[in-house]
Amino acid sequence: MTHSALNAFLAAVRTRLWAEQILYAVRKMIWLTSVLLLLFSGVHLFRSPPHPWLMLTVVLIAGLAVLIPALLRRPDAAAAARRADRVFAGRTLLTTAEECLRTPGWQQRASGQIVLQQAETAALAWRPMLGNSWQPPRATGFALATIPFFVAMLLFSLPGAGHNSGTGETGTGETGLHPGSAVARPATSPGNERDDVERLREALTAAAVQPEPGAVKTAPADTDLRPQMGGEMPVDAPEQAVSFAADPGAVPGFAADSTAAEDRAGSARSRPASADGDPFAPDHRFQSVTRMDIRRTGRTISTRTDAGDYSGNTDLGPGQRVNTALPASPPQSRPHWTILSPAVAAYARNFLDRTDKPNE
Amino acid sequence: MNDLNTKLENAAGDLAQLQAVLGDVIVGQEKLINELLIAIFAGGHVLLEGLPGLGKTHLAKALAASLGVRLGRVQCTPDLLPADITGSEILRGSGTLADSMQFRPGPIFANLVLIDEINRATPRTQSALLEAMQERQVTYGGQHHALPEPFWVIATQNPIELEGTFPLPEAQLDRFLFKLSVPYPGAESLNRLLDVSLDREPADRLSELLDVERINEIRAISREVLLAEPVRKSAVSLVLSTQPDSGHATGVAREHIRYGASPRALQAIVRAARVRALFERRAHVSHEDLAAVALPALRHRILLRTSSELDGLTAGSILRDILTGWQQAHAG
Repeated sequence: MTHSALNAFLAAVRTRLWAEQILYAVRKMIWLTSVLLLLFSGVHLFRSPPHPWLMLTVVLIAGLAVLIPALLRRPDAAAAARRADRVFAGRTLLTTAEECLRTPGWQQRASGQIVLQQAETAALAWRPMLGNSWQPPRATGFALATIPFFVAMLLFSLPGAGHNSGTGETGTGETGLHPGSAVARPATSPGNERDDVERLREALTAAAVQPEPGAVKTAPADTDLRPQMGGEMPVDAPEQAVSFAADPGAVPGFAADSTAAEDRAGSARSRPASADGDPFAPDHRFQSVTRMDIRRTGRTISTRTDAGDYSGNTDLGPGQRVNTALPASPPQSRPHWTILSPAVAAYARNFLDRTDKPNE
Repeated sequence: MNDLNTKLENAAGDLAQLQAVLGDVIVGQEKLINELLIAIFAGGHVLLEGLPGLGKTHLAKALAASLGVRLGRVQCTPDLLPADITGSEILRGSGTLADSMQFRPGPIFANLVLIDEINRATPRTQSALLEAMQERQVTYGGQHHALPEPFWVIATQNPIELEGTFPLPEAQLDRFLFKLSVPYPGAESLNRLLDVSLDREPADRLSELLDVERINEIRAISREVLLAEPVRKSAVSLVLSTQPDSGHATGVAREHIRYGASPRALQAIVRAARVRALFERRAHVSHEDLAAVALPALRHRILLRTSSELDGLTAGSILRDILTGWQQAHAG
């Protein structure tokens, strides 16, 4: 006796059980990955943004750890028989019949054959109602499982804990007092103007002693208050100058000129007169230059810095022109930031000391 | 297979007919009769507990008559001696003493022994039944005397009038397959009772439906009923759930049960479940069969804590809680 109807029925129920198992595992996987992302978003908010690859790895491993066992472990016929008995009120008929099929001694017993015969009849009668054995998870469960995911995405869109720790990445200098990062940070309120100026001072001091230029990435362009970090200076810029904050009276030897009015408005270009040791002496050669515009506008001090290797002439004032050409270097070796020459750095430091006063 | 199928059908038919006949005689006790027949065909002894006048003795007499077996009866009193139950040696003849002593069997030497108000007998007399019920033999004077086959004991006891009574020891209680409560009949049943048994005993009118040979056949068929592995495990889990120290015990069991059911209870449950499956014309035991026989099989085998008894809890109420949880876990 082949019991084909019984075997076919059990196989069909078994397939449905497997599909259910996979769906439940998918739902669990969605829950788990959503909750993990939610936890990562908490880390992003309160500590530091986690590395994307780390997040992806953890989430992937956790999800697969849930899904793969469900895919690999197909329910056995005994489980299918128990499900059928429960759904169709079989009163353990199919469970006993399935055990008869795999227990050799039972098939030879008269009672075993009676059970198998009754199970065959029942399987034929229940086959049209096979859909009743399908009990997948509800769709609302999947929808609920995605809620932590969307909350996590919302939290990730918020600025993280490391957002205000400093724009403008530092270069290879260990102290972090690289001119680029120090001057990049704008003053956003009267309260931290002084801090900005202080940082500028420190940056300039550090730059003065730094033996070699460091490679720094430029900070991204941002709002009006943020410095506009350009890449390279144009090689043949018609007018380039190292300029400082507009307060002509604070800078010794600072030549007052028509730009004084601009100073009061908030922008200035200083054109110091040449003097001994003055970095802007016509014959003074720069190793490297960092151009820096410090503008004082109202109650804020903003900095605008351009970096690059200069080549060509620098116009220091009417009739004053200095060759500030630097040896041209291949673009790929051209650093985005260059340090101030010791002389310029000293000049700038002097200037800052004199201009270190609160804004009106 | 067809032969056994026919036998199975015939056995189920005989049981149904027996139940119907007894139901006509003992009015309004269908469930009691069903459980009694299950115990009888499972080869076990039964303890009937009920108020006076509910037909316990009458039921035993009707059962003996319909089964075509010999009925022995013992009315227990506090002065009853063990020899009054088992029998004793008497002196007969005029030869030597050894030749003249003859064992005279007591009333226990019958197929169906009715022991009325067993809790009135002294513990010494009650213990005389222990060997008979378990080993189906009586030892007297160093000699073993086998009891007839089949052999059943139906004992009755009164839940009231407990003065001067001796509660059965647990060892003896454990030898009863079932403890059945005889309920008070309803109004309709009482009405029918007047029609059935007003002027004469209906048990006297019963004719023999089965004989000993047929009884043994039916019992042999019940032993062929299959017990699948999940059902077997469920039965084990059920018995263990009454043990307060086992991992299967529920909170109710841990809180209220002092001693749980023994392994003999597991055997009783399975044997009874097979007969019940036969009643239902099935060749396999289901969880439903286990649930149906669990209460009568376990009710007298668990011992409650004193505090729980003082709180008014009974073994039956505790077992119903345990059974409810067990059925939810093993439904199907």
